[in-house]
Amino acid sequence: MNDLLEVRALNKRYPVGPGRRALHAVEAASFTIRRGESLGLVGESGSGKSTLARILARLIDATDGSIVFAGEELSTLPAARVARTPWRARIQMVLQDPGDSLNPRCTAFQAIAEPMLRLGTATGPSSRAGGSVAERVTELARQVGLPEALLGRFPHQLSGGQKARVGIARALAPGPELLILDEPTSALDVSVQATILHLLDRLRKELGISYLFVSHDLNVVRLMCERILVMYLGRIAEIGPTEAVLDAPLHPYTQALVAAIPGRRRANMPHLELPGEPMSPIDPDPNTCRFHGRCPKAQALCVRSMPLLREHAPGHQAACHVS
Amino acid sequence: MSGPQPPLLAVSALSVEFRTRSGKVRALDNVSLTLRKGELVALVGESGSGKSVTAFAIMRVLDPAARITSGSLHFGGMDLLAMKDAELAELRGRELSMIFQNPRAALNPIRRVGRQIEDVLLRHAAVPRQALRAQAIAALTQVRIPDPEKRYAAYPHELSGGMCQRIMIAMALACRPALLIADEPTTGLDVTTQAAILDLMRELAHARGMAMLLITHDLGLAAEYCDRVVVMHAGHVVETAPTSRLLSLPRHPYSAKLIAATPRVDRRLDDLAAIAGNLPDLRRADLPPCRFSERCDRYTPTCAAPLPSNTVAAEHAVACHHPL
Ligand SMILES: Nc1ncnc2c1ncn2[C@@H]1O[C@H](COP(=O)(O)OP(=O)(O)OP(=O)(O)O)[C@@H](O)[C@H]1O
Ligand SMILES: Nc1ncnc2c1ncn2[C@@H]1O[C@H](COP(=O)(O)OP(=O)(O)OP(=O)(O)O)[C@@H](O)[C@H]1O
Ligand code: SF4
Ligand SMILES: [Mg+2]
Ligand SMILES: [Mg+2]
Repeated sequence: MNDLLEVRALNKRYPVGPGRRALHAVEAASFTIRRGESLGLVGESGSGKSTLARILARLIDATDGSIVFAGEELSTLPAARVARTPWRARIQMVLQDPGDSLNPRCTAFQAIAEPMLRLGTATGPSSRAGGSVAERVTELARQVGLPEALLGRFPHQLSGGQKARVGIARALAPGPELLILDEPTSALDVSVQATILHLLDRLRKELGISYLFVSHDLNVVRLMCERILVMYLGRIAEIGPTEAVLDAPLHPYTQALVAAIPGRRRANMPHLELPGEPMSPIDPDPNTCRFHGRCPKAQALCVRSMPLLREHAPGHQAACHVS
Repeated sequence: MSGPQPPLLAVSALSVEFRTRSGKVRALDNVSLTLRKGELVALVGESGSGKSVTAFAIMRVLDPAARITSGSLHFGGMDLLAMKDAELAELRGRELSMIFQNPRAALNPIRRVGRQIEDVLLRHAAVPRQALRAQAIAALTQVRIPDPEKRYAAYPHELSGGMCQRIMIAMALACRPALLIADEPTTGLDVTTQAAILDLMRELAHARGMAMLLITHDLGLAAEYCDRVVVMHAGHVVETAPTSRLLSLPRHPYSAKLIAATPRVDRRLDDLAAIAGNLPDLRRADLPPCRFSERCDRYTPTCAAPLPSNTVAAEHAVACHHPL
């Protein structure tokens, strides 16, 4: 089988306020990521993208559900223990703001070497056999296009693009098979973003790793991903090949999202204005579609039964009664 | 006899410096731009290019460390640089309005949003007290806040980012300004919310004949919503052109690179090109006349001469010795 990751019926609920109220951050998520594939994750603010990303990076635990990584069940291993197992090296995460996520007192060299030293993986599977930590750091710097002369610098002495490179090198250092990127370029200017996107694309092809690529920019996801997963208020609204999802979106939320991409709208995509406000993620009605209340296509059935993912074309699924 | 109408806003050869401990930051140099009544113009450029400083200068709300070293600012025929503080305060909010970057910070966290709109109406529009509430609710309705009667009594923290943005727009538009300056009004919002808010702003601008200066780092948004685009780089206006012309026939090397670096619906990753180098340090004493020259692949020794301002077509001006 070619799946690197298989997620089944994954839930994350946060207890909130008094009583037994729960915020449903991720609900009933089921999907796969193939080896070497880049899966885009989009959806509006609060839809659960970062929560899902952090669960898969094994930084936090799911409430329930299954995560099978390379054939092994990972969800039974608590996140707090993952750090001390080889799993930590196999799944790595690149954080949103390269400035905030780097320790201001560590040089670029130290930042890149640290995970290797901690995990004892100075020779990750992607490096040429053998070699010291210093050699591996130099090799990584070369891979991510960071001039060697900058390795002695501290974060405040680096530009945004250079810090992003350090963050990527650091995540690649232990030789991961899955890289989780949460808005990796949203803090960067377009002039720098282009370089980082090229770098990420090249690294994936050279190293054969898989990406979960979280972004709010559909034009970026289109460039970087083979498939797209769309979330709405904790649930998967649609998943499918990039082209199909963006050119023939099935779910009314995806349709609104695609219609809002600048440039696409002038290219005679009708603009769908979503009325109202999203429903509350706290104890939402389990029998009402999460998009109800904003959905321009809603019908009576939508408040009586939760739409489940249905396959409309090979590999293209949507959770909507109407589409 | 009707000659050409004078522009609503004319910024001419404006230069602004900041005094800092590590030297003078020459943030704006010789910046000129105009807006006509009802026109939607975008101001684009990388972070640090001087977009917000330009807006602050027009609003006359620059930091105390700033000094306008030369140039002029005219709005509706009035000389903004010659106006007294009281006159400026009167003008702001009534004729000239601004939506600042980061709306939540610009709202008073401990005052109900309806009251904040009333404050604006009271200060600038001489609305009789008994009509205030109705007008504030009308302003909320106009920016399509659902359930405006109830939202009138909400505090900012009780509202989503998109709703705070709408409140800011309601406040900025309450007194029917002739010009709205919107500094990244939708940054950080979802794309669907962003589209709804910009559609609304455009619609209100058209309905009222209001001009808008939309400040954004997103060329895609500029293209979608504005009639003309002004491109800034390192404190210079490098190119000004009608939107479709700028996108299809950019003449300044920086504009061309900015366009090539922006992901678009019809572009593949291979076509996406980064821009080499960074903005120059604006504290440098030896800043070259063309502040793009150190990043430019069309550079020749001629570029060390003072910049020309070439008008290459109607409404299309480029500050470059070797335009494309
Ligand atoms: N530690 C927590 N405790 C309680 N609620 C949380 C916690 N972390 C996240 N949430 C909630 O879970 C939901 C999903 O949040 P998440 O950060 O995953 O969204 P997101 O899709 O990444 O949004 P954004 O695009 O704004 O980054 C939100 O309603 C959020 O408020
Ligand atoms: N108070 C200040 N003191 C010193 N320098 C300043 C000050 N305010 C702005 N600057 C400098 O002026 C230049 C222009 O800044 P400005 O805020 O106008 O950029 P911008 O184009 O709005 O960028 P962004 O897209 O990040 O908002 C920058 O080099 C900035 O560092
Ligand atoms: S199921 Fe109904 S409410 Fe949900 S997205 Fe489809 S049409 Fe809209
Ligand atoms: Mg997030
Ligand atoms: Mg700014």
